[in-house]
Amino acid sequence: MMTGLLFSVVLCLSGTANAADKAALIRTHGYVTPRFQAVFRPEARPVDQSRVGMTKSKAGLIFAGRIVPVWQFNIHFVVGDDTFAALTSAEPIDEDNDGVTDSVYTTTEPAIGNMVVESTVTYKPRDAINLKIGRMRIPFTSQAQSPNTDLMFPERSGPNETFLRGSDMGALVLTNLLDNRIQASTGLFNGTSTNVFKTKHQGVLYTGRVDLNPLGAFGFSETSEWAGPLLVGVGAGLIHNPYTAYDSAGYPTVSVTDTRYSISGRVSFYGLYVVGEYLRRQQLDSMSSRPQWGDGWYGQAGWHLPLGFEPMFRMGEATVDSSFDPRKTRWIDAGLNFYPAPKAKRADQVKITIHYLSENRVDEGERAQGLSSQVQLSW
Amino acid sequence: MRASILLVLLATGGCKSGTLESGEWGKLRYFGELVGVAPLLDTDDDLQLPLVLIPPVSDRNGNVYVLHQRTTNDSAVYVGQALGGWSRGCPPGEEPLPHTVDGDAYVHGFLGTADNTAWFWAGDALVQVSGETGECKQVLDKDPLTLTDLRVMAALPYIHETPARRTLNAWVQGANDAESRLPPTQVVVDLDLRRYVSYASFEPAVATCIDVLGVGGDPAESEGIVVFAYNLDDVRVAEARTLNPQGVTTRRIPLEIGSTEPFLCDDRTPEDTPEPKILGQIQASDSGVYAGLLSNGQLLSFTAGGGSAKDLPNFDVQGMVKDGGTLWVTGTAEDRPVAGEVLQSGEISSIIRWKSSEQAAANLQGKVEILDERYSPAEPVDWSSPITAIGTWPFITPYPLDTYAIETTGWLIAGPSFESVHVRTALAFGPVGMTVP
Repeated sequence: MMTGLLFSVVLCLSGTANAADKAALIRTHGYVTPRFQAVFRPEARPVDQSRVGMTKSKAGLIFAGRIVPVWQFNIHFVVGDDTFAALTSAEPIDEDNDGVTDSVYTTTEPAIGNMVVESTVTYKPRDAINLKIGRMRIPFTSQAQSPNTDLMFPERSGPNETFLRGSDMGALVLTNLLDNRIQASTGLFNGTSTNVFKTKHQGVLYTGRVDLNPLGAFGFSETSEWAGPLLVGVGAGLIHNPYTAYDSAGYPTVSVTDTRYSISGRVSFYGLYVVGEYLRRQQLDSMSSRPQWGDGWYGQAGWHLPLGFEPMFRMGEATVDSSFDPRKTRWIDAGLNFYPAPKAKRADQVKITIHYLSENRVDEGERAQGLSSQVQLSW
Repeated sequence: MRASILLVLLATGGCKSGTLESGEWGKLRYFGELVGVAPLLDTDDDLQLPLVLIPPVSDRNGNVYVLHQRTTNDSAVYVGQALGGWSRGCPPGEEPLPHTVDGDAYVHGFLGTADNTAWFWAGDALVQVSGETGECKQVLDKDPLTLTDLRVMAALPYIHETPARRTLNAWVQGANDAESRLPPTQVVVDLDLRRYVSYASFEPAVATCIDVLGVGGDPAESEGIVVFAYNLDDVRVAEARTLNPQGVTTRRIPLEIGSTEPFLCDDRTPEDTPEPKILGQIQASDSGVYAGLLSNGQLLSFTAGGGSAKDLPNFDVQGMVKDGGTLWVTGTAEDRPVAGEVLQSGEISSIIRWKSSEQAAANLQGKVEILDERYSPAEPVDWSSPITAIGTWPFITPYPLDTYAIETTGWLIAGPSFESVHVRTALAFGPVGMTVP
């Protein structure tokens, strides 16, 4: 509802601007990504041991525009990506008629979680600096800055999603210096994408990120865009999220400080793209004397070969709860991207992906392996 | 760049920030007053009952669980939530196991925890406790097919946790079979479904007069351990068995505990069980030694090849602790806490003063600030020289200690007591840094 309203307001604004300013411009982008996936978990319950079907398919629609030269907007909707089972009914069951509820009969329906990936207004008084406000992905890691359609693999790496996933509401100041050789951002967010923010918490998430590209502009696309000579990028991101938890009566109980940082390195060279990142988290609070530590890393590489083929490989690992009961997960991904329309405006406008994925819960002794294939059409 | 590195180091505060020093207490959380007096204040000539508390455990989300054996010979479990506040105590409504006599433990201890749940075995019940709500309920109260009232004769304290399911091994019996000490059924309990998912008959099927003496778990080997005795061909046999997560008996270990004379349990006036029970739980070292304290004052130690009950060294042995893969027997000598390593042979090495325990006790001297969380908002109060609420010194217990954080466990302390029909003692939970000599 709110999303639709926001979208209508933006469209109305754009219409007014069109009439008032010849420079106004609205562009529509989008993508459709049907995916077939088969996942096998031999050690799981029988019902979970194999999942085969069209899962995680998604479609996105992006409206981007400029009302006047200094005011721009971007709205990105995605559907089908993040569904959950919504409870539609619950009925207590007393199997033996002893007045005690033995179980609860429930029915669920799939529902869409958050369909707004980005909804931002950008104020850009100069080329070198701009202010972005609204819902957006926090630019904490290199991969978090890659648009959904520009990822090498169908999904971001497991460690990246362990430390930060989804988008959040906030404000971000971005700067580009020396012809994009230095890119930096700093901002404030609500903290809803850190997986710790709940309704009884109040706090602000501070973020900062610096990327240095000494050999020239080096964006965050992971696809075959980088067909030229050597480019190198290093970067670091920081998230600091202090918040206070309150009890049901509204009184403060615990002060928590959640700090995460990431360090990344990237190289591209005539179609070869390599990226590696290290991530770390520490959470302290005023009550428990039990710090929560976690760290992880991943490395991935893809090489865009002639005839539109791109073999790719990724490996990553994340360990959480290191301070009391470490739990390690290891991911290995490999696959092949095929770009059948290399003559298109961008080679990755049509992308076919075949992908092998494995997840090894090392400490829990459970493995999952799967295959997926997807077609991505973007315009 | 240097500034960036400095900023990161400052922000994260170094690698091990936030942990406690040995003997140092974290925030002490006052959660209630329970009937009984602290063991240190319990004397033979008064009529007050001592507090019987199991060392607290924590789950992955940071909730803590306190298990109390009440003077009514049942249990109540209290949950302290990670971000503050306590439940009011939940009695699961279990009954004592058949043939329980005075001196036997009614509450057998925690079995393990997961994200926001803990499980324990008390009386004849396997109980789950929610860390979110404090609600407790029995997991396997009735057979799902026959609706037979089940007795959990043994619940093995190793929970096999995967993303898909959480299971443990147990021995269960119908109420009448338990009364007759007939062979139990070995089951794998799916703790999420709250029913058993596979079962196996007890072997040998002709065994009679079966008594469970104790249980243990070894997470490093993903196994549960049960020690028991039974009559077979007019001989009393003691045995330990290890069970894997699939409910398969992986080892049968012969033990020497007491006499081999058969036990007359079928008589209308049966004798007391001849074997001593295990206090707390059996624990295992990384080198394959299993050990537990026995109620007759001996130590039961064994390896995969067998073992026996042994006399203890000349210090007052009261507990057992595992640290860094090594088992230590703990107790007091000259009124100071001491520990002796359990060797591969099952013998105890020479004892060492346990400074960490001493330091923890010393840090409770004088005025100690406690956070009173019984009501909202929580308020700080002062207690004057509180004492340990479990055992005679901090960390001395025959139950396994929780790994609350690196070199830190959870413990309970006793504050002021009040007289109202029974003596009630104020209790607080606190994390405390612990190292073993």
